[in-house]
Amino acid sequence: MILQINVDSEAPVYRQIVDALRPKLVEGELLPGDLLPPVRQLAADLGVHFNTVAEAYRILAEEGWLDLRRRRGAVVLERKMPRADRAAAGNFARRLREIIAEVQAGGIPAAAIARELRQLAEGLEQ
Amino acid sequence: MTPLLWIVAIVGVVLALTPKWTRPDLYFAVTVQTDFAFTPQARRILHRYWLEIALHTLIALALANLAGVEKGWSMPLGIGWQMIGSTWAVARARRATAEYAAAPSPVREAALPARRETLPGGWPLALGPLAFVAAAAVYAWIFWERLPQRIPVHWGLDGADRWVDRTPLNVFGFLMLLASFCAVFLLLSYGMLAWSRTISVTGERARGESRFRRVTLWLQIGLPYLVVIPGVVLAFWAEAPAVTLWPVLIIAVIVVALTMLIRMGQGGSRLADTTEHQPPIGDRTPDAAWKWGVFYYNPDDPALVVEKRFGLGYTLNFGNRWSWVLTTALLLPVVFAVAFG
Repeated sequence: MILQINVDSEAPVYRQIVDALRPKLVEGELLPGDLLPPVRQLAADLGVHFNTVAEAYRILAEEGWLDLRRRRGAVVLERKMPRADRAAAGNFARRLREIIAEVQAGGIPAAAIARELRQLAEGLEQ
Repeated sequence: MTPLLWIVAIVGVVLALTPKWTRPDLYFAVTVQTDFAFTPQARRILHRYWLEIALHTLIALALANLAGVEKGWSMPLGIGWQMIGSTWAVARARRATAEYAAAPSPVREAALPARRETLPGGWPLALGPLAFVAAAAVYAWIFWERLPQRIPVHWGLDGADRWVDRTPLNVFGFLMLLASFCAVFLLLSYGMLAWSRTISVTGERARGESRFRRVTLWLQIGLPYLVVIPGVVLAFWAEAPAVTLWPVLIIAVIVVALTMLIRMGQGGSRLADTTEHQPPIGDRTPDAAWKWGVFYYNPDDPALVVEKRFGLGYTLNFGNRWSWVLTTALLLPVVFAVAFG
């Protein structure tokens, strides 16, 4: 399993790390008890500053995914899914529409977007 | 031919071959396309480099050959000329290569979960030489009178060639020197595990890199054993049988390990395996941070130990303050030994 970032991307690197790790946590690729690399090691492997990785780990720890351990890295936690309120559901729908509009504006055909969404939906139902 | 001349000649050959051992997307410490080494431009740069290395080696041999006339100056002159001349040749080749530099891939990868790399043989094996020096110090303290009156501290190819009187400064200073040597190798090994990066994370490249790191770690852990144990035994045991196999053994171990590393190529990537045009992956270090193509200085890089861009193995990031602690630890005993004879 690999974590991938793009240093030329407009998204900040800490956000890319969070966005790359979260799907692996949600989809169960990373299981409770798995050890993520220590901040220093991951920063060295990616060639980025310590604080960048530390910030990404801190965000995931606040969400309840990680237990940060000094020098040893971060351990994946067993996390109960919180109950989403109505505002969160509305927020999700708004963000999804924003993303779809953004990629459509970038030239990706609506059919391709629909196909991708369908695949994702099928994956979720399974 | 004296040993010094042999050393200069062998170093000359090694310097000439070094550009062939690099990663395929690096050429004279510059990031390039993976097939650049096979282009006419690259060959022209290499041929000019070979010519300069041959020239500097011949001058160094001539200077070193003056050993019979003025022994004290010829060695630093010969070796010094070769070192400075070859550094100049590398820097010049690097400037020529910079014209063909390519941007490394902006995509960077890391392995998940945490990689489980450990010291070969574990900490007990790595700490063995230090424990041996500590035991020797205790032995010297308890059985002071049993130590020889004159203690050998330097050996040439014909056996011991320098002795010092048995004084606390000489005996414990000698042991401190050995302990520092062990500590530096131990820290380098730990630095490779905890403060260096792996560049390839999947596939054959990752396996090659892992093997390369393993052999390097074995070499770093084994060398202190080969230096410390015979050093202490020969120094403290006046009637020790002449251990003529000792230097042969050290050289044999180094040659075997280097041969393995050369066959793998720097970081486990063989130059001959990559002849297709591919975008460079890079080594996560910027070209500009490599001074003269040899010294790495990058305060923004969290890695303490990085792969060399010119030569096999690893080097320190001199932008990291811990590298200066390590360098001082390495140099202090040498300064101490020179200062106190």
